[in-house]
Amino acid sequence: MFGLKSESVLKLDQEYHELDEYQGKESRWCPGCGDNAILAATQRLCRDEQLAPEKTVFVSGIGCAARFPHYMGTYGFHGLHGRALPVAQGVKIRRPDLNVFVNMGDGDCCSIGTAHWIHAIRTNMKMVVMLHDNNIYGLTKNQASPTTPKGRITATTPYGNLLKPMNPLTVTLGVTNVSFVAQVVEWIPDLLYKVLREAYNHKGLSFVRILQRCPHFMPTHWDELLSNPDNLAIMDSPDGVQLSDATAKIYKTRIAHDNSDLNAARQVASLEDKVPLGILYRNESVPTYDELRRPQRLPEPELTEEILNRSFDRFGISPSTSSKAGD
Amino acid sequence: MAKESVQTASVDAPVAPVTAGPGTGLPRQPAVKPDESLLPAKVLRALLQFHLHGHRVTPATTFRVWPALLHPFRDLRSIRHEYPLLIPGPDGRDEAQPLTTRIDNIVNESGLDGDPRERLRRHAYQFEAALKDALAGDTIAELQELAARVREQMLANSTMEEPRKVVLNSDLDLIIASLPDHTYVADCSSAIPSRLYKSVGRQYWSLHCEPFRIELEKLVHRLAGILRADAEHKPEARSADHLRNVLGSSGREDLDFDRMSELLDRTPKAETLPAERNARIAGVLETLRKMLPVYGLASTLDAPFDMQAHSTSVADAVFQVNQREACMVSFFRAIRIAELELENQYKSEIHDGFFNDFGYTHLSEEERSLCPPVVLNLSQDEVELSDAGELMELLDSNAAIKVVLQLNSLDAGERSNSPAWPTRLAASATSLGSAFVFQGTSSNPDGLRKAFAAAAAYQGPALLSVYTSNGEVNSTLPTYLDAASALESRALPTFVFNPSNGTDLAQRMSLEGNPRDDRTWVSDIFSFMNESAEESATELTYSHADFLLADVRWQEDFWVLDHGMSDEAMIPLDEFLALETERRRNCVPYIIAVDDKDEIRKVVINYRVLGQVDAVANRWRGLQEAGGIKNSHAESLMAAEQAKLEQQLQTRLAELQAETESQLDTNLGDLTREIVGRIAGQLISGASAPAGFAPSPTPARPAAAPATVDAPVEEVAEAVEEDEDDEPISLDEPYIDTPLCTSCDDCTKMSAHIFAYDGEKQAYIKDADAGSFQELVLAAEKCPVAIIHPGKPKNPNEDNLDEWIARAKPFN
Repeated sequence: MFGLKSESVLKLDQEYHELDEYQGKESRWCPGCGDNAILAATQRLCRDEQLAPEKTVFVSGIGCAARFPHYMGTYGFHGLHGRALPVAQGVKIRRPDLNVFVNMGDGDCCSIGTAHWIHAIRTNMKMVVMLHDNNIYGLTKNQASPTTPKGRITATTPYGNLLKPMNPLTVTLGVTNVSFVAQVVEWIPDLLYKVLREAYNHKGLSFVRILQRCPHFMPTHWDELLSNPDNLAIMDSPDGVQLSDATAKIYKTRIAHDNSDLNAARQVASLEDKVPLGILYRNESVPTYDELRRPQRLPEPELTEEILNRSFDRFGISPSTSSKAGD
Repeated sequence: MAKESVQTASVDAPVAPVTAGPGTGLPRQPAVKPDESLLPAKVLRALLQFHLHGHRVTPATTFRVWPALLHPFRDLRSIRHEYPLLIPGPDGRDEAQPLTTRIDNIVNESGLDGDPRERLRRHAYQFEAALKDALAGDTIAELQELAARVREQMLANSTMEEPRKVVLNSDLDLIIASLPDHTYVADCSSAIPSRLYKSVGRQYWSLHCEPFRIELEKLVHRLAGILRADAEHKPEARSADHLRNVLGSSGREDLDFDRMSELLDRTPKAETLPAERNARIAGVLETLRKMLPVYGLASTLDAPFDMQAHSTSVADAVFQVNQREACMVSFFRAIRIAELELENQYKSEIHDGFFNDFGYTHLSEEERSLCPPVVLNLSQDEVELSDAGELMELLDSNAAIKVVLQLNSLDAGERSNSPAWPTRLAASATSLGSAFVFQGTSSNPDGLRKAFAAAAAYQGPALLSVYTSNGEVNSTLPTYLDAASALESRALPTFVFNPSNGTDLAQRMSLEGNPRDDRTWVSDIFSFMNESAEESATELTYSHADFLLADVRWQEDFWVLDHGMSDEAMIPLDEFLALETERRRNCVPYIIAVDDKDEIRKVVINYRVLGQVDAVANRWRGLQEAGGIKNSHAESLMAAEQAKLEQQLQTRLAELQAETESQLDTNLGDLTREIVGRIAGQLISGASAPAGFAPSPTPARPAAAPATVDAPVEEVAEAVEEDEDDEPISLDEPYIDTPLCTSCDDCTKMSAHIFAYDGEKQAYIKDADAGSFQELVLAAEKCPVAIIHPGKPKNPNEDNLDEWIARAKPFN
């Protein structure tokens, strides 16, 4: 704000945050779990964007994925089941200077948290929302989630899942004010990292669905995709993510796509024979609620006191009179 | 002419009653025959004596004459012009504008049509004229107060019948309600520049500081928050007294604060800030709070320096500049420390040194723009020669200072008590290059306002030099008209030199606002009644001599001729100026004026006036060049280039001619040789050889043969390379395609002694010898993206080696 010189003074002492600094507690996810891949990519993002750990907060609900904030060396909030988004919105509106990330599982987001999911897309506040979608409830030991495939036998569907799974992409793309929707698989680290980086640099709420392995309860679920990468279709968009040569050599299927076209995004999201990967939709011009509602008055203690007093005055009982009334 | 900015009120404004008097009709050319009694030789001698030596045969005329082109403006009262001017006061929000503009807007925006609109217009013009009259005594008054007074007078003096008076009353209500509040109304006077700058500067400052004001408020609030939080962590915060005070007045008697304090004492103690940091923040906060009034966040009475005071002496301005700079340095130093403190980034060992040496030169441009500038009001009468140096130094610095210099005497030389250097200060200041410079006259308030606003926005020193005339002390013209005359006659051309517009003169210098800036002098049509009382018109030039004619100090140097006096040697000044020096001899220049009987007179000027006219024309030409209207360098360069180009063309033409001729000779020779050769060939080879030209001297190219030899070699090489590319690398050493690793923890958890993560948190083989081949193969089988390649076993004695080699095969 005060010109170059002040900035150079600030930079004089700015520390460089290394990857290790973004590691919180040791990860307790099962070995081979896709959450580990998402954690590693997110930490790389934080390191490359040099996000100040004290200015970064990860918010989660309940589930395997919800352990995410524990493993980040930043601030975090391990919230209630399905309520990650309202908490994150509260953080963002009160502290617009913080970088807010949300980690939810398919249960957290698409089942109990559906109402919040829909409205968070509509309010479009600046944050990165990661949907860790492993198509199963892992923490509650193999129960069907809204994205569990039809016919799958689980603890809650002993005769096989009767319903077709929900498509979180088409749902999100159907909500008013949607501004960023992407899909990735956690086992392509290059793509995962690059999409997360684009999501972080997006102006509003960016919704990233991450297809994820659960080696414990769904050990063979993704085998077909793993063994046949041709079914993974990378969105080929001029301003989309560009894969590294090594990755591009393995994943060769491309779909030409204009990610500024909402209807095209909806079409691609509905594909059944291929899994579309990359940025499906991006629109920087959607208004964000945190900017629309940026507070005009400072939250001075005097203001807080004034408002509190006004509320208390509605009851109009002082301690002394209340004790007398009690007599 | 000033007509551009002046509308005569005659047609649509039945203002004050029209009285017969000077300026109301066309000037007359009296039908007088040349005085036969005057011998032509005697007349010529008298004229030449006056012109060349200033020697008069008759005493100077006592009656007033006006430059002919100013005649239509003699009754300024009936003319709607730029003055009175509405100038917003401290709380006013509008722009400064002429009363006439405002009145016109009121009528246009009244929403009325037809007769009611015309009636409103009449009343508005009557009101305007009455306001002008009421103001005549003072130079400045509060608009609403004066308007109310004028309204009372108008109603009291009105002889209209009651119903029409009611209409007048309601119209006046509408007009007065549409006039701005918190505004002054000012006549054209020497007070205009300082008044106007005060208003414009204040408006700019308040608007400019707005975003910063919010930032500053936040900063103070957040800093105070740190100290407040720290105070709550201190042991004193747990004392009963503190708790009692925190609660406020009600309910104190119901609570046992001593018990509460005891209870709190048992809870774990919080950490407090180091004393040094607490003191630093408190110090910074104090500095910031002191400056709140400067940015309108507290009463200006508490400001560390007087915000409203305008200096009237250079010494005082220097003192104030230094005082403010010291305040600003400590203020922005405090802001920068505050920003570091809020980020918890202040490190004594790094920052102390920097901030100890912090000075005015460290301030960024943005920070300097937030220093409230000192306004120095100077008047030509009051400055000393010793001020000149200090002024130039101030203007050459990067100090926040705006100098408003009011001029009231132009080109009077030794006949004036005022020094002449201030009138040249603006032109000299442009050579400094770093100061904003404006020169202009008070007759163009809109130009003043725009230039003043640009000066206020300019981040550095500014000089605003304005000729206001000084009432009717030096001039026979009213103040406004004298100022306008200075602009028209080039006595004081207007210009803006704004260094923030760019780096070259074309971007920085603007002559906008000067009439006909492409010419040396302005000219206009002069209408009059000729000898036969017929309406007639002629084009007249308005030169510097016309300006001086109105100056009482130059009366001696003009000879207003009697009607009968005339000679062939007399020629109009503009024609005289166009003559070469040689041919000026024996000519006497004159200008046309109108006397107080509305009769046209010829006025002869002497050598002193002529010298002034030449000097002004020279200065104007210099300014024209600076303003890009003429460029003598470019012109001479262009002439030289043109000559050079012409010469080059001639040379080239000669060369071409020579070339063509020699080419013709060569061709002729070739043709001859060819024909001779062909005949000779046919003669030698007889009929068997085909008719043709002599064989080409170019040797045949060694065609495709070598190429066919080369090609296979290249192809083979390429094939080999392709093979290398396609063939999977098969090595004995185990390895991992690290960039493809998903960081799933499988291998690192299985065999941490073999596998590890790199700086990107992706797996690699840390030590292949630390474990068995079996472990490598198991990890390869487990890896979800199959990027572990076990290679070949190193220990031939490992158990079941054949099985592991077989299982490793798909991964190698």
